[in-house]
Order: sequence, then C-alpha cells, then structure tokens
Amino acid sequence: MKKLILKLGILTSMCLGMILSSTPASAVLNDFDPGNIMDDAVATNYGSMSANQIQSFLNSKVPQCDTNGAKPASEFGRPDITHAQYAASKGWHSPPYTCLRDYKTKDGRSAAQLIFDVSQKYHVNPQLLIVLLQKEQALVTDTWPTRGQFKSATGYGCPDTAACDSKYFGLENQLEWAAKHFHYIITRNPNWFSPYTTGINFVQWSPNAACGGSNVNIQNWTTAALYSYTPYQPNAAAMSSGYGVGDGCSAYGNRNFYNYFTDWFGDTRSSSSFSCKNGQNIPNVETGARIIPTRINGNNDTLTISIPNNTGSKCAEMHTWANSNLQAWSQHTATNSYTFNQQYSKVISRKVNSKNTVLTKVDYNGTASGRVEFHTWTQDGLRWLAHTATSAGPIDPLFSEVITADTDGDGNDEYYLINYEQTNSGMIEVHGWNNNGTSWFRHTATSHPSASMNTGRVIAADLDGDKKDEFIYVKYDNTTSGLIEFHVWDSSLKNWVRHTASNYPESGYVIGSNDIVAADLQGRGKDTIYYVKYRGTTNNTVEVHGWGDGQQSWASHISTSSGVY
Amino acid sequence: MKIQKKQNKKNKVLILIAVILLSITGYSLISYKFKFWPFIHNQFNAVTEEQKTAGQDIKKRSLNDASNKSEKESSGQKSKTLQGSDPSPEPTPSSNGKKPTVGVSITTTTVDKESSTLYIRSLIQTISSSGRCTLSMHNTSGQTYSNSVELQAGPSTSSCKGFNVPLSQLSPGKWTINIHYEDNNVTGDTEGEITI
Repeated sequence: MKKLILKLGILTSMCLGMILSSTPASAVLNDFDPGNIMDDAVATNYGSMSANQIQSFLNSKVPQCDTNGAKPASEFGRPDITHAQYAASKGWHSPPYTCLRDYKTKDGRSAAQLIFDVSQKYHVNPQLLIVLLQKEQALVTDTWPTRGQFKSATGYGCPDTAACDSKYFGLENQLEWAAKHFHYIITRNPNWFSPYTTGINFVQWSPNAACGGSNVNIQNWTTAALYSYTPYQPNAAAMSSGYGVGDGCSAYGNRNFYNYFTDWFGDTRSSSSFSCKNGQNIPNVETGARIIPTRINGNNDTLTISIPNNTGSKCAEMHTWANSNLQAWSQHTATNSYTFNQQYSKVISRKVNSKNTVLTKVDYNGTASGRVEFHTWTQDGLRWLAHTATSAGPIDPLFSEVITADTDGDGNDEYYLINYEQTNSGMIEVHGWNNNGTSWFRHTATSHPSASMNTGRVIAADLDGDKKDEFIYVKYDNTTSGLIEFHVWDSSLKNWVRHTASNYPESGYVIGSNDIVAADLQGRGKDTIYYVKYRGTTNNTVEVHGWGDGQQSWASHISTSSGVY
Repeated sequence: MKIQKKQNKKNKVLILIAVILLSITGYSLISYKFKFWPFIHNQFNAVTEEQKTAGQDIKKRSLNDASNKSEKESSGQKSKTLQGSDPSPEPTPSSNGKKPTVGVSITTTTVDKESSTLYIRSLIQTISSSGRCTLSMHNTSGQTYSNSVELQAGPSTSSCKGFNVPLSQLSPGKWTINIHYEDNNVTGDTEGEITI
C-alpha cells in the first residue's frame, strides 16, 4: 500500500510538474483551425472590455515607454546607439515616440477610447481590434512606435483613387476601416464584396502565388473577414515556429492574430458565455421593458420580459418565466449586449422551428451599415448567433416597425417590415423578407389606409390553428366602437376576414404602458391574444390578461411575478 | 485483535491520501485543459519575451516595407500605401511597354442550387477601387458567357464586385473561367474550371 501511495505521489508530482512547466507562455497552435480561426460570437462580443479596461490592458503591455528614444536600439542589432540615433540613421522621424497607451487625439481622446468607441459603433470585439493593431504594426507592445506605424495602424491600405491622409491614414481612420470591414462582412452587407465567403475557398500560403495554397472550408463570416483582411494561411513551417519565422513561403498575419489573441484573451472560439463588461445604464432614457413570446424546446410558449435599459446588471437583460402561470422564473440573463434605447432598437422573437424561438435585437437606425440590422442571440442570450445588415435602409420607429410571422406554415417565422405612415401607396404596407433579411419576397399595400402607430398596430398570430399566422390590425384609438378592435386580414392582406370589437374600452389602452401580444402559452396549437399592462396595476405587478378566442371575453387574468415597469 | 484495528486505520489513512492525490491530479489536468484556476488567462499579464520579439519583427518588416516604398516613390514609382503583415508583392514589370501585372486568383466557385446561381469570387493583389474585372466563360461546345464588374478595395488586396452567374445561362458540363483585371496602372489574369 505504501508503495502504491509513493507511486501515486510521484505520478502526481510529475503531472503537476509537466503542467506547470508547460503553462503556456504562447498560444497552442495545435488548436489553430484554418477554417475557423475565430467564430462570429467572439468577433462580435463588443461588450468584452470597457474603455478603462482597454487602457489598463495597454498599460500592462508597455510599463515604460521610450518616448525620447533614449534606450539602446538592441532589437535592431545596434546596442551602441539609441533608438533616436537609429531612427535618424534610417531617415525616420526624431522623438517624441508616443506609445499607444499614451496616444491622444487632438480633441483629447485616448487610443483606448477610440478602440472602445469604434467597437461599439460596429459591434466588433475591442479585443479583435487590439490584436489587429499588434499583428499589423506591433503598436500594443512597442515602446517607441513611429508616426508611420500609427499612420497604418491596422494595416488597412488606401486605394489608388482615395484621399489617403484624410480618409484612410491615422489611428482613428484605421480603426474605423478595420471595424467596418469586419462588421460589413459578418453582417453580409449586400454592398460590400469580399474575396472570401463561407464554404470551400482556395487560400494561398503566402503572397507569392508560386508557393501554392490549399482549399479551406471557411465555417463562419469572421474567418472569411480575416482572410479578406490578410488573404493567406500559415503553412506548416509558420505553424511549427510559434511566433517565429517559418520559411520562404510562410505568411504570418493570421497566425500572429491567432497567437496574440489566444495568449492575451483566450479562446477564439466561444467555449464560454459572455455578459457585457462594465456596462452603463443610459441616463434619461426609458427602461423600455417589453413582453415577448418565447419557446424553449417545448410545444407551448412562455413569456420573456426584455429590459433594454436601467437594469441592475447595466447590460440589456432578459427574464423568462418558467411556464404559463407567469409566477416563477426559469431564466434571468444579463446579456452580452450593452443597454440600448428602445426608441432605436427593439427586441423581437422569431420562431426557428416548431419548438424553439430566438430573440433578435432589431436596430432601426443609426447603424454602422446604414441599414436596418438584425442581431440574433443564442437562446441563452449570452452570445450572438447571427448578424444581418438587411436590405432595408434606416427606418423611423415612429412610422415603421419589424415583426415576425410564419405566414407559409413551415414552422419558421419570416421577418416583416410594417410601414404605417409616409408610405408610397398611402396604405399600411407589409414587406416580407427572406434569407433572414437580405432580400425581399413580398411587398404588399394592404387594404387599410396609412395610419399612425398611436392609433393601431399590425400583429401576427395563428388564431385558427392552421399553423399559419394571420395578420391582424389591432386598433386601440379612434375606433368606431369605442372598444379595442381586431381586424383580421386574409393572406392577400387586401381583404378582411373579420372585424371584432373586443370587450375592452379603447380608453383603457395607454401607449407605452400597455401592449398586445400573441402567444400560445397553453400549448393549444393556436395563439391567444394577451393584453399586457406594464404599470398602473392594482398589485404593482405586470399584468397579463388573455382574451378568449374571438376576443370578446376574458379567458385569464394573471398578476405576474414581475414588478411594474 | 488490537493490532488488526491499527492496521485497518493505517490503511484508511493511506486510501484517503491516495484519493486526495488522485483528486489533485484530476483537477490539475481538467483546470489546465479548461483554463480554470490557477490556469486562468490573465489579460493584464506583462508581455512575454516571445511576444515582444514577435512585435519587434513585425515593426521591422513594416518599417522596412515603408522605407522601400518611400525609396520607390522618390524614384517616381507609384506606391503611396504602407502595409502591415503579409503585404502583396509589387507588380511584375512587363516588356514592350505593357502594363505591369499583378496576381489575380479565383478564391471560390460555388453553385447555390436554391438560387440557381454560380458565385465566383476573386482576389486581386493590389488595392484599387478604380479598376474593372471581366469574366469570360466558355465550354467545349463553344457556348460563352461574359460579364464585367467594378472593383471593391479591401485592406491589403481587392476583389471583383462579385460574379453571380445564373445557372440558366450555363449548360451542364465543364466550363473554363477567365478573369481579367485592369486599371490605369496594372493588369492581371487568371483561369479556372468548374463543372456545372
């Protein structure tokens, strides 16, 4: 027994010794996958660092800058002269040499702030931008960078006909173009063409075409964007030399990108979940809580309350009820998204099969792509599943909105743009997207004249259980009956199937405080329409009142477990 | 009897030690693999010598590239862009007063059955937005297809603005693909094949 213990002790010591001695000072290149260098969830995790954290990171990499170029130029093989003297011998500019951590724009913004701002604008992980600055110009670790390195900070070249200095060169322009490049490719912006796409692509080993290359099955748009940035993959010699030099056919851009990212920030493929870091609530902006139907591997819906602002976590939050009783919670999520203004963005639910929904943040305007954008979460709300710059230009949320509906009965919802006012036809218009928002399959001027969203809204619900959603115009103001009315279209949206005056007075409906939501909470195979009261309720809780089929009587009244908003 | 009890107690202690040692080994291996404590990444660690040296190599390559280009600019050759990692090769001079040539390659040819479209994408080893790409396709039966598009400038190269060829215009069989690129300064060609 003693011998066994002794052997176990030796084995344990050996294992620990091996692990500690091999604790990575550098990336494990065995994990480099040319088809999946980085996944979209990591690349778009724009909440990964705050501006302060970026500054701390930059400080940690260069504890002392050689601003005056007084240190020996040993790295250039000239320990006998100073950096400033070496620069002079090469015709480079004289000091000062400003480190990235100390960089300031003319209006006083730091490099950390620039990185953070552009990452938020384009929904790109700031860590990705930091690594770009390093792999292109070594700006993160350099103790005496030259102005030329800042000029081409992210290595983004200037086309032959462009005004390079004003549009392309300099840290701010370079960060802007780099982030735009990733954003446009990841969101598949229809106006942005890249040489690589997902699927089988031929990728050279080096800029020298004679070195050859190989087919790479590119698995996501971030990897396509990385190859479109630096269109070469590391060959075996580059792969086997860590950060070092390979052979005459080696390229280093994507290898160094991977090395630095994994060493500094961890896995390039999302193995863990994210929540936004050091978020802030937006002052003087409404909480904007909304109830949305969700379905998680089930035959019936539950409800989720999305809270875009004024949250405890200072990230956008989602809280999902466990079941139709709406008393117990199954999931509380501080998402990976920073807080946002409900006036410009809205969270909607989209059925992706008969048993599941995903939530999508729809950005109506002010987007980096200049288009309506869809950002779809994984079901846990902690990562992005997909990003799309749609075929629609920016829209005014006072006149238009995006909803989802399964009108063809295939079990998946389609995205629809509803234009209420300022329409070309003078009628409420319904425009159907396919391919997740990148092209249109339908443009319909309905039978209802153009009208304000303060008067009524279009919702979609499967009221008859035929697995296809009907479009319903819900009128809650200026009705002839004085009651909330439901006007159901047929599939052409040109004819009415029925007009129903409900049992609830329109005077009771307060825009912003009330909502109307369709969901199948009971698993009946058809939707119920619910009247939601976010505030002004008897018990100071959010209330959900379900109409019976026909919407002329109540089937349920629930005072939920959620406080008012 | 007393001696046997002592022996049992000793065995229990040894088994307990064995279990603890195994647990330590197990946790060490798992935490190393999945980066739990104490192997968690700390992004604020000081830069390693390896990372610093790699950074110095990047800087040297970039500044040498810039120096070379500024020398060429002073000698009258057009080159106003500085590039970082893996810059495209300089255009190859041509004889007889023809334009220098740049590398052109077909990166992907994908048939999308759903949209009945052949997608052809390409890489041009120069950064330009003023050039034009011409696609010419022919098959053994003498059928042809051609199209011409503008250029999209990228960070270190450019790309033709996408050739999306309707399959209705291509009969089944083997097709030869030629892409010709030309701008005011340089030109380039590439050839490939696809079976529809």
